[in-house]
Amino acid sequence: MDILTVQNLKKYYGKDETLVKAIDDISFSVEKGDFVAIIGPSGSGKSTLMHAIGGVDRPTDGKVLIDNQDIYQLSDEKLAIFRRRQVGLIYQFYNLIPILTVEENIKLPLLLDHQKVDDDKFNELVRQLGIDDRLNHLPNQLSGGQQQRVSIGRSLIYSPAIVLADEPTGNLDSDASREIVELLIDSNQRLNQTILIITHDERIAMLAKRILALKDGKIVRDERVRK
Amino acid sequence: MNIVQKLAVRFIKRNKTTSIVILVGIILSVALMTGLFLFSTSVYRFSRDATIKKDGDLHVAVGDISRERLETLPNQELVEKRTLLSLMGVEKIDQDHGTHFIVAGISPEAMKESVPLKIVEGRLPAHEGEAVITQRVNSYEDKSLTVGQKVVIDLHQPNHYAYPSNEYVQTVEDGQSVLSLFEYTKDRDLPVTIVGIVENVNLGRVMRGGVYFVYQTSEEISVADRLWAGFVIKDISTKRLDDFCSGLHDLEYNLLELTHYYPTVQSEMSLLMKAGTYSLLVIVALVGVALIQNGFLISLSRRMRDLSVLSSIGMTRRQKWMMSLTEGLGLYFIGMPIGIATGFAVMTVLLKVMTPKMQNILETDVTMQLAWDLLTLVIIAVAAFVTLFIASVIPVVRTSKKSPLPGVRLQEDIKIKLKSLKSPKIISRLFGMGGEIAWKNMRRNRRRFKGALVVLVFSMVLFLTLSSVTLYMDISMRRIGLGQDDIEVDCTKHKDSKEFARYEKLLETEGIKDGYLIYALNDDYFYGSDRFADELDILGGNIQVAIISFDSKTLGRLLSDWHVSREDLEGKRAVLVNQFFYQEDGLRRAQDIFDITPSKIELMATEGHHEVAMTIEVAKVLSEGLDFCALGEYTLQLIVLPETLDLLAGDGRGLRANMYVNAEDNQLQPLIKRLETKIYEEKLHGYVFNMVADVQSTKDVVSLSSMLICCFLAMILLIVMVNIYNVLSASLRSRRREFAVLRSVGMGEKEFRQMLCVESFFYSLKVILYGIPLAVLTSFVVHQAIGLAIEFSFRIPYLTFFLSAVAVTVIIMLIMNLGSRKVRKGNILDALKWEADL
Repeated sequence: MDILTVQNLKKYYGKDETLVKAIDDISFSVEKGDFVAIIGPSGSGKSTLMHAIGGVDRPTDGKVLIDNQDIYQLSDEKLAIFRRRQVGLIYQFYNLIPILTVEENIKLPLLLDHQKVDDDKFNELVRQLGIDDRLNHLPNQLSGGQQQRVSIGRSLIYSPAIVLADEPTGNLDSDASREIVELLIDSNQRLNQTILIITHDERIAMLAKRILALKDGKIVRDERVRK
Repeated sequence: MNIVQKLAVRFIKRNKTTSIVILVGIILSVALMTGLFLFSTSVYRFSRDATIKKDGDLHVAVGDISRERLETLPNQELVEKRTLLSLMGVEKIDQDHGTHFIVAGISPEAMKESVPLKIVEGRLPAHEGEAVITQRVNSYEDKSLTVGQKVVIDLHQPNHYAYPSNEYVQTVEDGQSVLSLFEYTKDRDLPVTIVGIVENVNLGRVMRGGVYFVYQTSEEISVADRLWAGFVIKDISTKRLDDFCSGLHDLEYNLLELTHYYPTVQSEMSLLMKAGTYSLLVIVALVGVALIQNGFLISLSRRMRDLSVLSSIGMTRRQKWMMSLTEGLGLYFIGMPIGIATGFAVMTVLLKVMTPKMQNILETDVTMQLAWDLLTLVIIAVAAFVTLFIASVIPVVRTSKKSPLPGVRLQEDIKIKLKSLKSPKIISRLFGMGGEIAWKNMRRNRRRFKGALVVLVFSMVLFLTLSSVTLYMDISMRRIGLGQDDIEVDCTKHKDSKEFARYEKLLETEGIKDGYLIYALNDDYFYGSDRFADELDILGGNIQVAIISFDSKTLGRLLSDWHVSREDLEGKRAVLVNQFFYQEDGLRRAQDIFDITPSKIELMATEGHHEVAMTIEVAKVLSEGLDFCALGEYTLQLIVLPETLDLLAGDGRGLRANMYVNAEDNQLQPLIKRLETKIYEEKLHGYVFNMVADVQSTKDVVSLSSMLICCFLAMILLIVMVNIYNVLSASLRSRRREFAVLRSVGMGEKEFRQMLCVESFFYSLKVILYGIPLAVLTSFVVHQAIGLAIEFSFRIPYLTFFLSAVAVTVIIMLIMNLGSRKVRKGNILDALKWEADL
């Protein structure tokens, strides 16, 4: 079953002689539980594609269907709520809220929804992330790897339809990078979490089940490397 | 506390500086609003209390009403208190004319508050058969009653109780105005003992002038046939007043001055106060909104990345609004009570400072108290809340509309400009690369600079207007009282000059340094000519003419100085004064009247009419005006002998006499007392005016207004200066990454200074180019407003304008350099990564 469908997606900037086609008519689908790596040179449109899929940046044309919901038919309010519940975003620079503790950062999507947190689920998640002893710390009291773990925890707390990771290891050393990737793989395998990851690292890309290569806003390669 | 509220509280704590700025804005705005309201309510209360103490507490008085009519008056449920005086009758004082003194029965209750009688000599009546008289009774030539004297009042009943200024009275019958003679019917003889003399009263059309107040009990008064009735209206307002007075159509009534001092009554005074208060409130609110809004914008811009992340996670626009409003409310509930308390404290001190001047202005000893009520506090709280709400909404709307993408991507939105931007060669020649970058920055980011520019222009206009106001107030102060004498005695009207010798004796009163009596024909005359001086600017081409003479001593001296004999002026002959003095810009200036003086003056009784009323021959022409004379501004003076005035007044026009004296040092008050006593003892007709007090009173009003305006504008300026610093330094802080990039590619300190120099210079230039014309406009508006009371030519304080232009440039440069220093010196990498915020 396709959890994500992208149809004729376009994102253009400027016009006439200054027109830039960041995404140029991209279409593809992703099955539930898939682990897709998106690779490509700088300026190929990887991050733009990721943000369009995540509902953060409206495309110029085309559709993005997540769990059969055309997300750009939703109003801004409903899109925000949809993002909260159905999309998990992980960034290169963690993007934690500096005034909230680790626990509050992870629970943030639920708290915004006024949802009660399942303590068992939360405790299990933080234990697996290895940050159960840092729950009352602020982000500036954590290492880069720990902050990224918090970011992953925040993206998984709602068990979203899809997790989007934009160069999650870009700001980490090799050990921390490896741990992060292992966490993502683990959540994909254990929880059947659908994950799309942007990476420049070939080794990380090879760990994915499917590779999408972008160049100049188009998909130039779509290869399933493992089932 | 939910997560949104938690975020709001923690953002306040993290952005301490900006939160403090917002808090200061709230406190200052609320303090100003509180001060404004307290001021207007306190002044109202003070004016009301002073008037009550002076004239009593009645709102409406009916001069002559029958007992039956009184009981059937409608809308009596609106009356809180009723004060009655019985109209016992009148004492006739002139057989030929309908002049009389009122004889009124008064009870102790009435004397307490509603009809305050101020004892000059003796005491108030306390028993049957006792009476007091007003000073006016004894000023009548046939009267000289003393305290303790037993008299028999020859009581008559008049057909009307109107004040008898002449033998006719105008009344309204069946809606028509009717003129009828006073008629009197003998009543009885009323023996009384005069136990006191009181100051003259003015309680409406009937109860003024000479009055006997005879002691009566309330019961006696209540059964009297004709009454004078005064009413205090319950919870007075315009509607209640109108409703009550609508029942008095067929009666004459007088609204007394007191009603103007109730905020609920729509009088000119209350409208003026309300308009003034609410106008100033709007200004305060606007300035408060600007400061608070800027504070919010800065606060929100500093956490743009956090807001973007929250947005990407799924925080809705409504939740962002709630977060911002929660922050605002938190600061509001801290700032508002502090602001109110500050307002109270400042007004308490200000009222203490103002009290002596206000007491002098209103001639009262009532103390000015701080007056407030719950409604006032509620209005202030609501106004402050509305200010805060407006201030916080706009920043939140702006930020909530922004896409979450820029913060997530850690870069600005992609904006591609079609046109390339070239800087003028002179910029790069004078200021190098730094200047070129500054130029392009300012041209590309106009929106960013616009906010700061508006605030800077506003502050400059405020400052310059303030300096213009102080200049105009200074001119006004110098203008007031220029050339005036200390005391004026209005010796009223006379048929002829026979009595003048008695008035001239007043000039011998001890304590007079110098003085004169001036006599004039009672009517106004006009003269038109084609021989007026070119510079003489008179409306309609006709000049007003004053035919005057002086007391014998002054006239003798003048004639001697002018080498004119009395014989030269016999008959209808006059000395023509070919110059008059007028006030301009605080100085006394002279204006010639004729280019070629005529040999005779044909006067018109009415301006513009050509019928000659009289012809006066010119015996001598004086080329210089009479600089000691009070009359003269825009008037042609013809000086004649007193006998000539009698000749010209022969047709019943009458004469008037005024005395002007200056007191010796420290003799003003004693001299006033002596003159009043002499007038009373000699049974002269004269009213003594303390011109020094009047001038001082006016000067007090001007200086008080000046002080209040300066205080108000200074507070506004303080708010604005905080805002300028906030905006400029926040603007610099937001460019930290930009500065870091410039430094990372090799921009040195010299180029940085050049860049900031150019930005400061163009900032200042724009501020000056917008600010000065606007300031000239606002100064002109202020000049026009002040000109309603005191005229002087429009001017602007050039030196202040120049200095403020220099000051603006220096201040901007200082803020830009100092504010950017920390930002420029910081760690490049941290700034590039935007991690310094964490």
